[in-house]
Amino acid sequence: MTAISPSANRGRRFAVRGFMAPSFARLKGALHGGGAPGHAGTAWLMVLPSVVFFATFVFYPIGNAAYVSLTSWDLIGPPRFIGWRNYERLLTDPNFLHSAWVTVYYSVVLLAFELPISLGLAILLDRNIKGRSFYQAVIFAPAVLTLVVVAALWRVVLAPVGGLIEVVTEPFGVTGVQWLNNRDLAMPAVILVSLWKNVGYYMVIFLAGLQAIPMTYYEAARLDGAGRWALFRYVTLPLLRPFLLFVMVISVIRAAQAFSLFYALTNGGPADATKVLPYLIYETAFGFNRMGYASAMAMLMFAALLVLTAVQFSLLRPRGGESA
Amino acid sequence: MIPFSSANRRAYLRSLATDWPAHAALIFGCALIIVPLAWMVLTATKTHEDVFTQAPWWIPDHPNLVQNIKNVFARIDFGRYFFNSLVVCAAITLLDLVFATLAGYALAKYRFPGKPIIFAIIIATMMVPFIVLVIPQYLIVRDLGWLDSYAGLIVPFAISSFGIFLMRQALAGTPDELIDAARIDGAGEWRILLQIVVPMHTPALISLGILRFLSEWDSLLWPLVATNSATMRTMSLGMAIMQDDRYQTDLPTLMAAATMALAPVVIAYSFLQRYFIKSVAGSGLKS
Repeated sequence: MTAISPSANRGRRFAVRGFMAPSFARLKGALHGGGAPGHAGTAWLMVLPSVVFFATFVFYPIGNAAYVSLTSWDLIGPPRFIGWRNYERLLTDPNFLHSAWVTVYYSVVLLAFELPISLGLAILLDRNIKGRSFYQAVIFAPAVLTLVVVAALWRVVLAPVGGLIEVVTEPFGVTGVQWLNNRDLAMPAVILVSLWKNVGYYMVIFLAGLQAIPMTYYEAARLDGAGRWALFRYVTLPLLRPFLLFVMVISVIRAAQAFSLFYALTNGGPADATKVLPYLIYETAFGFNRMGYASAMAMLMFAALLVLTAVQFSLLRPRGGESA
Repeated sequence: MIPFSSANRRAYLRSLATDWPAHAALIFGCALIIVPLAWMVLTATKTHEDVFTQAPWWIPDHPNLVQNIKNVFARIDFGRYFFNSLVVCAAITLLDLVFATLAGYALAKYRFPGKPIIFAIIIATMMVPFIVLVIPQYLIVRDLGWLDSYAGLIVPFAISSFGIFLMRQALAGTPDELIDAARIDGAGEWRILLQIVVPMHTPALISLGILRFLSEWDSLLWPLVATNSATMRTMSLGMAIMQDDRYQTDLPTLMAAATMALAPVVIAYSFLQRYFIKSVAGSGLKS
């Protein structure tokens, strides 16, 4: 996956560094093998450990998962080949369909809040406001905090008795709410915690994008009489497009694979209300020892993510040349 | 005509809006981050009874922090979990730095048969969700006899395609003239890499190191699957299991554990936040 940035020389302070801002052209160059000839042996020695590693821990496992997904296997006896039966069953399995829906719900709603909040904060910080580095450091902080510990913290914040959340809800006469044990409230609560953890992270990415927009564009638009909203709509947003799409891609991919928070906050409950796909796969494989069935779920999820990524990548492709 | 220059940037941006609503919004945002963390520490000083009898923001006269910390150590082997996490994350980060640099350099600066396909394959592995790999990796590690061992926690994550990609992008920026000059002076290829190229790119190495360490420190699914015994638990796993057990209603003890777990992270962050933020801003990618 590529980190996207307008070309580095346009950057202002804090611009995305050249080395981390590959253009598609450079990527293409690598695919066609540039570089010094005559040291093929040395070069091969350098990549060999990685090649062996990926063959062992990524490619062989994918093949193995694909095979296991066509079997019925409880880990005790040998796997029994059953063809496409796992997949056929999955398509009508209410638990699987429910988890797929929960995963989509979590990913989409989280993104819908993450995007405007983190972009809004980045815009506030882009204005050279006093105390900017303090604000940035504090709001980004949750991104480095250990996820499971954050879950522990929020479990207590949301505790029905003695939870900090009471301070907010009590004036409205709402007390003793079982946030994490209520079917309708558990997922919103997990989304709230995810927002708390993620917003600063995306804010930093957006800020890097905003600072890469040359001031001259704003100046020109101002001379043409553009107001504040017009500046945002016709300068900031279009130039930020690669960053917007990039955040959308990683946010959705990360959300769809989220496991730790659900394990630590809700255990998939109550009544499966937060049983996302990774949790269901984990439980099916390592709780119920149904390796074949779990592998089939994982393969379907893999396929869905590949399609999604392909769609997003086609959107990411810059329109014409080195444009931002 | 308004004379615009970068010197006017500040004044211009000020003109977009007066500053106080922005400050209000940002202070509110910071409060939302800080208040739960401060409250975590406060709760760690309470007794079990305080939580049920007092308001959440009540400050105890006689802090119970020491007893709560003792409770943590009585319930979980906190030191061991922390040590395990440190060993595993440090090993993974170091291995990734070494092998990603090697592969990244080869892909950036040499021409060799098979290079395009190797590069394409490595990029492609970034698309594979871990949940697809977890079952077969469990089988591999089990067959190698590595379940419940450091090797099992470290080796399957020793090299990341993200790391190789990042280092390739970084090392591609090394001027070829420099490398050629060193060759003419008679330096060998490995020496050029170690003594000239690597020192030039320490910021990239630091970025990769930070991002990798952080993402491994958070990992839960794999330690959950690949370890059985309490002595091999990482901190994330230990904390998750502690939250789960029947004592979870003892909130002050849980918060004491959380405070202990976060303290080193917060301290490291307060000293290194510039690097942390730069790493994320620059890469936009984690794990």
